[in-house]
Order: sequence, then C-alpha cells, then structure tokens
Amino acid sequence: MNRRDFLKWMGAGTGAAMAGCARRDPEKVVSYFVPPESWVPGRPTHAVSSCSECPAQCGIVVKAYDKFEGGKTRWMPVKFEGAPGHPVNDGRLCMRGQASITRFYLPDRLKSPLLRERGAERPISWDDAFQRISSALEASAAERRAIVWLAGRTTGTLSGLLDAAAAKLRIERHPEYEPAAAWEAREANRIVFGVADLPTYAVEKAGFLLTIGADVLETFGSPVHFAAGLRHAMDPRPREAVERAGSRFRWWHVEPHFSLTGANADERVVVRPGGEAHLLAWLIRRLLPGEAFGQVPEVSDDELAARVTLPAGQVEGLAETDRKRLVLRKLGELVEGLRGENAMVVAGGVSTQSPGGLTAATLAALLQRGLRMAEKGLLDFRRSQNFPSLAGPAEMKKLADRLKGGEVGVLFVSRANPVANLPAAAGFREALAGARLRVALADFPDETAKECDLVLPLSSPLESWGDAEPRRGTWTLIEPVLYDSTLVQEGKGWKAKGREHRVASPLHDTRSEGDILLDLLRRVAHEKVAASYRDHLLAEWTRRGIKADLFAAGFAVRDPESPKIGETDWAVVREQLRTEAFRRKVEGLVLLQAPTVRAADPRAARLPLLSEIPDPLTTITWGGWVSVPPELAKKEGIGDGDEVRIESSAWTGTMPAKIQQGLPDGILVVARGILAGVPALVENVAVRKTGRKLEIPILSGSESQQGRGIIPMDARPHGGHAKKAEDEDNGLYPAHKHHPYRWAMAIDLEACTGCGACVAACTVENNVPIVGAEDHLRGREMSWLRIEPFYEKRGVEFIPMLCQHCDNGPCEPVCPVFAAYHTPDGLNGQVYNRCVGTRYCSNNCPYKVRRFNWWENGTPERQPLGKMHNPELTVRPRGVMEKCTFCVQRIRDVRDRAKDEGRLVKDGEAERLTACAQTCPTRAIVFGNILDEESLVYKLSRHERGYKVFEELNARPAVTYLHPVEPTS
Amino acid sequence: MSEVATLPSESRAAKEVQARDQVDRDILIAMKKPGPLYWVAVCACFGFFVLGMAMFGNMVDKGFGLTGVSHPYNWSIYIVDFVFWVGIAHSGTLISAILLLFRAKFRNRFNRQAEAMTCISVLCAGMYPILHLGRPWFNFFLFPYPTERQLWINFRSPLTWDVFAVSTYLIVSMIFFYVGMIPDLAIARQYATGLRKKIYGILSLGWRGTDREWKHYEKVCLFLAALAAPLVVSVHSVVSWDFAMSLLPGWHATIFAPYFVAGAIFSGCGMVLTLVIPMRKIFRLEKYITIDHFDKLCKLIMFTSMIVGYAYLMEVALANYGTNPFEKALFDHRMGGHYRIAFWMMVFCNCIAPLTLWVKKLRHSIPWLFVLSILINIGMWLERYVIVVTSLSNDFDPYNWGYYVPTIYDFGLTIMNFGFFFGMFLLFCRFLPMMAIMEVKEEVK
Repeated sequence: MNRRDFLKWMGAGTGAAMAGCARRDPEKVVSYFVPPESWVPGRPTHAVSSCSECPAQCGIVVKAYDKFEGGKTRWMPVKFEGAPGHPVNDGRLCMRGQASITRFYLPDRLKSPLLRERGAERPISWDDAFQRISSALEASAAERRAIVWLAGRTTGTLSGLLDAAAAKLRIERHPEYEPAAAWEAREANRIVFGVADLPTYAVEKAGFLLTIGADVLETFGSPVHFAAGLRHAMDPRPREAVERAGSRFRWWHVEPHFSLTGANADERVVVRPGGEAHLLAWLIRRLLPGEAFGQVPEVSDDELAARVTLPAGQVEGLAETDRKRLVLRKLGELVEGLRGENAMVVAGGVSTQSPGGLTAATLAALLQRGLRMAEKGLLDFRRSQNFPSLAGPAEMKKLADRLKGGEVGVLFVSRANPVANLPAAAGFREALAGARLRVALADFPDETAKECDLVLPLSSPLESWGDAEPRRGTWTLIEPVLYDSTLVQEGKGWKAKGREHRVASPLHDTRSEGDILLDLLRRVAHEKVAASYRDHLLAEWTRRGIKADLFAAGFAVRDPESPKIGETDWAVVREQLRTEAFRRKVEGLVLLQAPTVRAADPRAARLPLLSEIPDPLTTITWGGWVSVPPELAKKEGIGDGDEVRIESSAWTGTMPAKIQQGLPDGILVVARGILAGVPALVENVAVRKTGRKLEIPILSGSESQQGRGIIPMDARPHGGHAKKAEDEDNGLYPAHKHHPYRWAMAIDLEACTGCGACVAACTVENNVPIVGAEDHLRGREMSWLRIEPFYEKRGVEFIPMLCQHCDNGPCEPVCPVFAAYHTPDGLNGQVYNRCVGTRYCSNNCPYKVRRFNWWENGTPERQPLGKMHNPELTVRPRGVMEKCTFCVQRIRDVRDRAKDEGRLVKDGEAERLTACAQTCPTRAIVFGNILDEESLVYKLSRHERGYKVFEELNARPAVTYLHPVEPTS
Repeated sequence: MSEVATLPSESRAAKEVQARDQVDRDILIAMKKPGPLYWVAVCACFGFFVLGMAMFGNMVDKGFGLTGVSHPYNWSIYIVDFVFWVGIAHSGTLISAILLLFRAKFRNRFNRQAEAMTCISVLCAGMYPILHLGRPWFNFFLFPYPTERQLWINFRSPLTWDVFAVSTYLIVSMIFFYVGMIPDLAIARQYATGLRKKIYGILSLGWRGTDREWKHYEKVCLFLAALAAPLVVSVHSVVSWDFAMSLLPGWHATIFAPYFVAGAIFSGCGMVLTLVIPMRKIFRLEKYITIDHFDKLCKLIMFTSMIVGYAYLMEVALANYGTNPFEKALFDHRMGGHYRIAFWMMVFCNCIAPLTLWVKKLRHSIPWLFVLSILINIGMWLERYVIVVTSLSNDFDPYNWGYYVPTIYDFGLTIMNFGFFFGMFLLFCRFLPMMAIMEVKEEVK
C-alpha cells in the first residue's frame, strides 16, 4: 500500500465511522433557568387522586418526582399510596391498585385518535375525529337511528355531564357496563329491599359473618375496605396483635371452589355450583319464621347434603351417612352463628354468577332483610356503592339485538370492554357491525376498541382533572400530577397559586372523557360550555359546596338522602324460586372462571407487574392455567404442567394444568381474565391429558413446609420454638451494637390474608425489575418480598418472606468484599457498587431472600417502564445482588428530618414506614425501632405468639412473626 | 548434567554411561519433531479453550443469565469445576513433596508429570472463581490493594481465604516444578540446537552439574518440599471451608477439610493415571514406568478411596443420627431425590470401583487402570456436583427449592478447561523433560 492509498483508506474509513454517529441533544439536569423559590430538585410532590383500577375507587396519594422528560422537567408519578383517612380505604391499597401506576407508562397506551377504515388503522387529528363524529351523529339523527353511550363505571361530576350531554345531543345513556360489579346482588336488592344499589358492607360492625361466593378479599365490592373491616371485626384494637381468643366473631365462607377468600375464612363450606340457593333457602327456613318467608320452599336435609359438603380434609374417608351427619352438624353451628348478634350475610362473586345465581342473590337478600341487617347498620344503603344504573345480561343482550337490528346509528363505548367480557355466544362482537359508526373511548387498544371505527384515547387519571363518587355522598378528587400544584408561570416569573391552577398536561395526545364530552357539546350541539373540564369541575364543586373539602383532604363527605327501603316484591321472588335454575342441579364436570386477587376481568392482564406477582394459591406468575382438583388429577393421571384439553359446548381449548389442593372434586377453575369470551360457568366439561408437558412458572418449590415450622401450627407459646434470651449470643465475633435505632418488623400472620398488596407496593417502591416469564421459569424472579403459601391439613397458611435483617446475618461474613455489611441501625446493607457477584451471600441465606441481577435489567428494552423508577434509589446493574432494604430510602428520609428537628423518629412515623407496611390492608405488618420500648414493634416482638423463622440457626432476625391461631370452636 | 554425561569417569564403566545416555534419549524422545497428529490434538484442545472463552465473552456482554445457574443454586458447575481442578492439582505436590519427604522411591516416575499437571490444573481452577463472578471485570476487588476510599477485603470470608490459598499454591507449585526441572533442562539444552538451545540454556540457569551445585540443589529441593507439604493439607482444607463455613445443610460439616484433602489426592492420583498410561504407551516408557510403579500408586488410590468412602458414610450417618431435620432431609434427598443418579454414580465410581484394586491381577492390568482412572475422574467431579448443587437446591425454606438445569454455557466453560488442560499437557510433553531424568538415572545401574 502506498501513501496515497493509505490516505484514501483512512478518509473512507473515517467517513464510514462518522456515518454511524448520531447527534445527541445535550441533557439538562435542571431545566428551569430561574428556578421557583419553593422548588427543591429531587423533593417529591404529592397529588391526590382516586384509583380507577376497579369500581371501588379508593383514594390515593400519588408521589411524583421531577424528571427530565420530553425536553423539560416534569413531575412523573412514581408510587401510589392509599390516601390516609379516606372513607373507602384509609391509607391502604390492594395489589391491583399498587400495580395500576404502571398503566400510565405502558408503551402500548393509545397515543392519539385512531381511525380504522377498511381494516387499516391510522392516526388522525382530534379535529378530524370530531368532524367524523359530528357528521355521523347528524346522519343517524336523520335516519332516526339511536345514538347510544355505553360506559363503564361513571360517577360524580362526569355522570352529571354525561346526562347533560346526552340530553343536548339526543344520546341515549345506556346503563353502565361494569363486569366487576355484582349486578345480581344489586338486582336482588331491587327485588327485596326496593333499592337498586349495592350497599356498603359495614363488616367492621359484624359479630358473625357468612359470605357466599363473595370474594371479599379479592374483587368483590371494595376488597381493601372489606379486609380492613374484617380485621376490625376480629379484633377492634387497631394497634394490637389480633387476638381471637376472647372474640366471638367467626367468618364462614361458602363457595364452590377454593379461593384466597375461602382460604382465609375460619370455616369453609363447599357447595356444588348452583347449590348456594338451596343452602340459603334451608337457612331461611331455619332462621326466619313468619308467613312471608314460608313462601321460600323447604329444602330437605337430603337435598341439601347432596349439594353441600365440607372441605376434603374434614370429610376424608367418611362414609356417606357420616359425612351427611357431619355436614348437618356443622351447618347447625352456622345457623347458631347467624342467630347471634350482628350476624352478617354477603353473597356475590362466583355464587351469584352461576346459573340460578340471581335466585341465590335474592335469597341472600331475603336473609339479610329477615335478619334486619339494614336496620342494624350492617348494610348501609344510604352510603351505598353508588350504582344507580348497571347493565345486566338482559340489557346487554337487548343492546346487541338493537345493534344487530340496525336500530343504533352511533355507538360510543367508553372504558368498557364488552367484547372480551361477554361470552362469545352473546355475539356482541358481530352485533357491533350493525352500527354506522362505532366510537371507543379507551386507554388501551382492547378487544372492543379493536372493533371500533374511531378510537379516542383517554388521558390517564394521573394527567386529568376529575372526581368520583364511589359511595353516595362521598366525593373523591382526581387531580393531575404532572405539574407542581402551587407554581404557575406568570410572565417571566413563577407565582404560587392555588392547587386548582394545576395544569393537566398529558404525556400523549389524549383527552379526558369530560373534555371530550365538552368538545362534543361545543362542536356538535354548539353549546356554550366551560373552556375545559377543569373549569366545569370547579364550577360544579363550588355549586355543591365541596370544593374546599376536596382540596383540603382529597375527599368530601356529605350526608346523602336515605333511600326508602320498600316492600319486598314477593311476586318476583316466587317467580325466581319457581325457575328451572333453582331446582336443577348443575351437571357433570364444571369449568368455573373465578376472579382472583390479581384479576377481576381481562383489563388487569395488561399490567405486566400483575403477571409478575404470583397467584397467592398456586404461586403461578405468567400465563394461564387450569386448576384441577387432586382427586380428578389422580384419576386422569394429570400432573403439574401437563397440557390438558378441555372440551365443552361453550369452549374448547388446551391449557396447562395445576393440581390445586383443597379444590373440591368435580370442578375446574381458570382465573378470570385469562379466557376471553367464555361464560363464567360451563357445565358438562370433558378434560383429558394431551400428553404434552408445558412449562409453567410455579414459583413455589414445595407446597408443604415439610414439617419445618416456618409457620408453626401450634398453640404453644412462640409456636414451640425455643425463645432465645435477648443478650444470648454464641457467635465467634462480638455482637453488633445498635444506637439509637435498631429497625425491626413484626408480621401478624393471623391478620395476613396473603393478598399480595405488599409485594406490589415493594416492587413499585424499590424499582424491582419485571423480568418476564422466561426468567420466572428459570427461578429468576426478582421480588424482594414474596408470599409463601404452605398447605396444611387445615387449609393454606401464608407467610410474607423478606430479608430478615439478621443481627448475625449469615450473608455478611461470607462476602469477600464487604458488599454485605451491617449498618449501625441494624440493617443488612448491600453496597451495589462494591458487589462483585460471588453470590455466596445468597447461598448462605437460610431465607433465600436475595436476588441476583442475571441480566442488565435497567435497560429500556427490558424495562419499558423505566421512567417510573423511584429516583430515591438506584437501578441495580447487572451482576450484583440485591434484596429488601427495609425501604432504607424511606428510613433515611424520616430519620434525617427528625435529626433536623433534633429528635428521634417517633413510633407513629415508623409504624407504617416501609412500603409493605404502609399498604397492608389488614395492618398485619408493623415496622419500627425495637430499641424504643414504647414502640408497637417492640411490644409485638415480645408477644406470646411471636417467633422467628429458623430461630435455631442463631441468625437473630429482626422480623418477628406472630403465628396464626386455630380458632377454638 | 551434560558435563557429567560427556566426561567419562574413571570409576564408572563405559557401559553405565551408555545406559544413562540411553535414558536421556528415551525420555527426551518426546522433544523431537512431532507428527501431524500431535498438532491436530493440540489444536483441538485449544480449540475447545478458545470456544469456551468466546462463550465467556458473550456472558460478559449479555449477562450471567446465559448459564443455567439460578436461584436458589447460585453456584453450580463452575464451582464444581473449580474444586475439581484444585483437587487434581493436589497429587502433584503430594507426589513431589510429601513422598519425597517420606522417601517413597516410586514417586520419581510420576513426579514431573504430576507437577506439570498441578501447575496446569491450578491455572484451570483459578479461572473459575473469576469466570463465575457477576462482574468479572471487578475481580481485583477481591485482592487487598490500597485505595484512597479505604476499601478493604473481608478476612472473615472463606472466599478471601481462598484467594490467598489458591494463589499461594500456584506460586509454590510453579517454583517447585521449575526448580525440580533445572538439571533436566540442562540435559535438554545439550540435545537442543539453535534458539531452543538458548532458551533451555537460560532456563537451566547455567547448570553445570558440579558437586557443589548438586549439594545445594538437593537441599533446596528438600526445603521446598518441606514448605510445600503443609500446603497439600491447607489448600484443599481452605477450599472445603468455602462450603463448611456456611450454614447450609450438606455443607456445614466439620469433616469437610480432611474429606476434601483425601478426595483431592484420590482424584489427583486418578488423573495421573489418566495422563501417564497413554504417555507411557506412546513414548514407549514401559522400561521406566513399570507395573510395580503403578502398583504402588494403586495402593495410594485404594487408601484415599477408602477415606472418601468413610467420609460419605459418616456424612449420612451423622445426618441420620443427629437431630438436625434439615441435614436429614438433605441427605434423604441426595440419596433418593432429584439428583440421586449423580449420588449413586459417585458412590460407584469413588467407593466401589476402586475396590477392584484389591485384586492384584486388576491392579496390574493397564487397560483396567485406565478405565478406572476415568471412572475416578468422573466420580470425583460428580462428588463436587453432589455437594454443591444438591445442598443448594434443597435448603431450609421449601418454597425456594428448585432444580438445576445446565445450559450450553455451563458445559462450554467446563469443557473449555479440559481442552486447556490437555492442550497444555501436550505442550509440556513436547517442550519440557517429561520425566525426572536425573532421578531415573540415579536408579539405573
């Protein structure tokens, strides 16, 4: 090569290398040129809002941090926490509520209006969209075809605005379609109480509770409220360990399958699907005298025993007559319980959604009425759950028929997904074709939106103004979080202004439903309306006189009028009892779709975080499965992970099987949200093995605790574990000295329901990566906190397992580089920067709570939700170990603030400090400084039921568990 | 030594001189120009090594998740390989140092190969702890070096002891290997030409074979042997403490140190057989390495095999006799659970198969010894597998139980060092005197 060639090649090479370069805009850390006075970079702001993940509409506080996003600094939501004092949830939040923050960041959110023409989809402008709607509305009106607005749960000001818009635009407002609401129970209340609504269940006042199918800890009504109420009913002292010894409160649960709710009840009664009505009729005839109730048919003991039994463990190996006698004796106890003071009955869930479900709901309502529960304040109709209109199967069928018949010109579907939620046989998808224009208002391209011509993207509640009325008279605020509440730019400077000046600035080209309605009024009806939905809301709030309360507390409570409880419509009741459904027995093997704590319907399946958290009973994370009862599995030779073919008239398909202990024979269960378009209950199902073995991510390595006393089922003090003296230390090295804090935790397993809210809270708070199914199959889940279910003879017990922050942490001495070390306040610290990844710490941890980063988990490809990351702690790089830190960032925050004020952290500040303790619906988790002898955690750690897991290993954990007690009957 | 060989001594018969020259030629035969088969073998061996290193490069790029290692078995066959190669490394020092001190004459037919084996296998072993790190690029964190942030290593951690034990062992073995070879390098110098002659000349440190040199040399050897002998015990004890110092059932046992040392010698002797038998055949060394020599090595194998068997028995017995439910459950699981095949194969290879050596006929059957040596290698690899993987898979909390499924990366990086080991051994045979010529000569009459 000569010199010239060399230079040529050099030039060409450099040019080629430069071609690969891209210009990168410089990133500004702080975008304000003159920062506002009160603004401290890195300090979070909070906004009050309402959770919209389920109809319960809990109050939430959204923590947001200033982050550089889209070229400017903006407030990005990082964590939801229950709003303290809120009438629905009082500071707590469930797993779905905690996980719902991810909805805001998911990459598949709708980002602009879409038009679907001839099968192709393209983004259009809002103007274009309104143009098309406007002309379609005119055309429909000319053709005298109806314009229907079908929406999900709509309460508060939006409901009023919708009514106003409907009147002006000649829109027909269809009853709400909300599959997660108990339509049957509401209908039964209309028949029996004359009030078409769902009451608020004041379970905290109950002296005895019977739930029939109602999955009160999972999806029924307001699970967080119910869980908190249950804990109160068990033991009204909020700051004590739950003591059942002196309490007469007992909770019985009747269900056809085996659910988390059933696992937590004191007594479980197993019923053949459809048999709930018989059990209720039997109970009514035994409990309620009088002529009126005499119209309920008598159910013989034989008829009852054919449909009702007890969990397998209790009737195993009994002859039929013995079984029957035992069942009747047990039900006698139930009758006695219901005769007691403040007995409460709740029916719903799978029991009212099976054939004859409405009959069961009606009978339950009769029992409620007969036991005078409304009068006793157990059913609060005045502050009811606010479902003034709710579409049942009949209404939806009628709508489908009208659509098919071409009666509907324009159909709006807002926040509802009937295509996925209604059985395929209802033909809603096909019926949709009958309308001239179908408009979906949605946040995600769901099954219904995919069938619509126009898709209008909705803003998240986190980026819009709004309110909700989850209970009559209870208003809760929804405010955008994206900008600081008190700072408004004026000219060149910043002015502190009222919170109401907060600007809703969506991430994408989306609008809130209120703004869309106002736009419709403005453009189509040419009405003079408020400039924005915010202005409309402010005017409404002022008119109602709730503005001050909403801005002060986030919610406003007004006294609504008491609805008049009317006469029971006995004619309808008799009609109900005469139906085929009451007499008929459900036949053959049954396939039941049951709601779980992870999903009430398919909308939850969108959230990868919920897929990452295991189902509490099976510990399966990603994907679907069918739960098979052990007896059937044995007969058919089915094992965990075997693919089975399920054949029925309604649905045929294959799924992996999981043997579910405690599941009664004759029923297969699929978690709701997995099978779209399949009825809740399918009879006469055939199941057989296909011979293929599928991999399903079952996280638990063993359903039994192998007699290891992890959850001692023992009435002896400390579960029979030897209690070590506090100062006893047999270590080779000198013990740690802690001053002035030694952080510790106490978990009351009697209160813990295994609902997994803590797991979701922990994941969001601590930037725990979501790693996906493939890693879960290999045992590489990253959760810092997990709920371990252990199947015992009596049922299943749950134990939250997290880093125990041992005093003699086995992880600490084995780390060659001091990445695992002991902090002066007693935490097992983990220095990510120092960690080289020998993983010896995890090997030596008896609790195996450490998680290794097998991949670079922080990259956008692996973590599309990266913008959600909590800036208070790092995203761990590949190759390092991570684990629970007792939310060290939160500890440091309160500790430093206390230090600034020259004091120690108060117990009140520490009690619910960690994310898990903060959200726990039953307040089972308590955190605090164990050196403070006044603290709750100190008290609970010395409780008679207190024990440490694997105490004999002398790791001296900081987490004390209070073992569950077997209620003495 | 060349001087000695070329200068006829009046007191020795010319015949004797001739015989000694014959020894030189016989042993240095391997250093002649090798055939193409040799190069094919070398390339194949190093091919595996390069392939493994490429896989490791990919792991550095993508993440440790490419391997089958997971939760709860955070360690798996890389650690098995580490312990395996450290074990192999043991017999070198044992044969050289301890048997030298005990004046066991048969050692001189094996010591050079065993020492070479030691040095190579310590290198193999030393690779794994680094390959196995989550962040191998920070491996220097494991060494005590001065930093302005005053970060120090944790001397409580057995892994830190390991770093010192293995590096000490590597240095001492290297010195021992080299010092023992100096006179032989001088012989090689005599037969070599050109550049090689120069290199051997430098390596032999100008050895002339004078009485003075010999006197000092013998002393140095003895001192080094005395220094190295405790290492035989200490290195593998420390390696065993990687496990024994933990809480884990199946690891936390006081028997581990002697059990590991015996196992290491056992596996080392097995590997010596694996290497020496083909070497003896190829280079026609039957004259020097006789059946009698093998017989003595076999007795050492039998002895260590029985210690290992005793340790297995004791572990199970203590688990069943004691009151520790975790220990008991673990051993039940080892013997009857998911990994039972590995356990019983290990028992067969390490305890049952060596029993055949009680029969003299089998002890003297070279083909059987070769088969047995392979079985011992497999058995000892499985022993570490059983210890590492089964204990981690089923520890205290049953919720965490899980079973190890290796991926191609686990195998790739395992095979890699077998390639490295045999490749390096082939190079050793070609470029260094493969038997202690001087010591053999001492016995030639």
